[in-house]
Amino acid sequence: MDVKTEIRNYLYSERFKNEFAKLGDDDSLLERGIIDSVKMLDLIGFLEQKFNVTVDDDDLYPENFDSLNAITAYVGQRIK
Amino acid sequence: MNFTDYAFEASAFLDKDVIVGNAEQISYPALYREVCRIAAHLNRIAGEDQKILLIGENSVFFVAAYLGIIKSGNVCVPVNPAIGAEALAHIVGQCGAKIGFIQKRAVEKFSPLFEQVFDESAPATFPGQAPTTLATRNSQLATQDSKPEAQNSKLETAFNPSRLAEILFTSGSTALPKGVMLTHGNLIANTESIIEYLNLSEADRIEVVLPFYYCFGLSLLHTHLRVGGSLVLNNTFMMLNTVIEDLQTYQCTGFSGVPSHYQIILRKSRRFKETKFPHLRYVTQAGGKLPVPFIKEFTEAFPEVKFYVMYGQTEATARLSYLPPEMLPAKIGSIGRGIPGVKLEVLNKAGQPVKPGEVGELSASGGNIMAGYFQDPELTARTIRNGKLFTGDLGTVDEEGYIYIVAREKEFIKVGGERVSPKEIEEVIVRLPEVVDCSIIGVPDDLLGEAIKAYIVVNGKNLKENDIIAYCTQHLSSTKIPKYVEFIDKIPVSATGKKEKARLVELHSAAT
Repeated sequence: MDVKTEIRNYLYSERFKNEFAKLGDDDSLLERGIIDSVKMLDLIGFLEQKFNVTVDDDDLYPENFDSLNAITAYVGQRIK
Repeated sequence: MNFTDYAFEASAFLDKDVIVGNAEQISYPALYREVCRIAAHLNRIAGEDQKILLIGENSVFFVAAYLGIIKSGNVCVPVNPAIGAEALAHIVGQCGAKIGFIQKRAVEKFSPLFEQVFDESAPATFPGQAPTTLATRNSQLATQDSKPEAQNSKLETAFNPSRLAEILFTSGSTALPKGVMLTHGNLIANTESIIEYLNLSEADRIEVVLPFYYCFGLSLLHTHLRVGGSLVLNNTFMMLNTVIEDLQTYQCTGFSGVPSHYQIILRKSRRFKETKFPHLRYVTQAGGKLPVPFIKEFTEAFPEVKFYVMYGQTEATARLSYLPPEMLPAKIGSIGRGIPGVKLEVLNKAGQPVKPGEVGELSASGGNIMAGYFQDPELTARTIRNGKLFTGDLGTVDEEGYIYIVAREKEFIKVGGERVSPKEIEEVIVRLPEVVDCSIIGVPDDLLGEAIKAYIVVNGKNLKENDIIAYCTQHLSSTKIPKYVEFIDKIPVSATGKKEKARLVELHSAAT
């Protein structure tokens, strides 16, 4: 499975899914209320574990986490 | 006096922004004008003393609607936008609420519960002079035509302060949330006290990461409006860099958080402790006990910043005690003493103040103590006795009268500072037909303070962890969804048949 699909599956997992009907790849997760601070911790934990990356605190900007595409791009950079 | 008028008494026409931040900003006169416009419209369509719900994250819209509802003589009921539809239906029903101010992205989900809904675009359409958008980056322009209209709206000094201003719903020991009724006088009294001990002034500017539907968040709004200070709204605390940048960019003088805010920023951000915040004068912490090592870590990294440990309850509007920063080294672990205007005591079973070292219940009296629980005279009578609020927290005092909490609200779990009732979650989970029994406990969590763990007894083996989480996600807000689920054969009970949660806690710590 590619990175994007993994992240998409995660966002559609039970913990998140009733928050949205259908999520566009560029839809803002913050604006739609899909990510609050508790879920953000969950998301970081998932990314670190799944892709064996470290989410640096210098990277904690909305630009990196606000949509499926943004997260995918961010993880892509960290894996390299 | 009406609380809104009190808040704006000296600040309504200040030539400065009251709300700033990356998303929106608004000046004092522009905000005051919007507040008056909303209040006048509500008077026309609803009269007074109606319960009006307000659902949203921190924003100019929220602030204007909140103050407008209160100014109109109606009762504001602020609600977390992450609330489940069922829980909201209960609150709306109990309040008999017909009108809701709801932020746009939650309108679709909640509007069927109301007869009339106003979102961010509504106030500009309310009759009044010079329609303008509610939030405007061009706040200078908005100030120009604001005076005449605002002057028309009278400052009602004769307003009876014992009238209800708001109802804050908070988790109770039962499954349903209980409504804490706060009067205009309550809000004024607590605001006065907080301004005094934090020494707040027009020069203060606070970084706000606490939601305004929570009493701690509201206390920041109330105090800063009253002194003519300003508030920087940041709804993305987890983007830690935005918080660090706000503190620098807006030259914030204050920051307030619950324990998990401090735990996260100290532990998750390497940059934070190495950054200089030359304008930061003080920080405050309430909403649960922050472990001493974190307090030390913070004060060692920022020795010039005053660190206020505080204690309070929604039932006391927000604040009951504080520990003066200069006493922190000598009294670390203490919640301090009563704030100005509040008598905070630790009482034994006979109602007498305990001797140093003896344990009793914290009780408080003062102008900030709630009018009671909404539609629950029995619980009110149990909680407020002889004019004293019994907090349910157990503590002791030292020789100098500093109070130490030994057991806090045992039946609650504090997830990231939010009070969560295990009973509410248990009652949702046991609705699943395969579930025989369920017990919810709080387990230690490095970042959230406590996390929720569900111990569940099922008949048959078909139910999986995911099914539990999915069901909870449908019926509960996100902070109430268990982080851990464990299936067990039976919930341990005592000889008298009471569930022994302490044994579940042991079970959990033995396994980790």
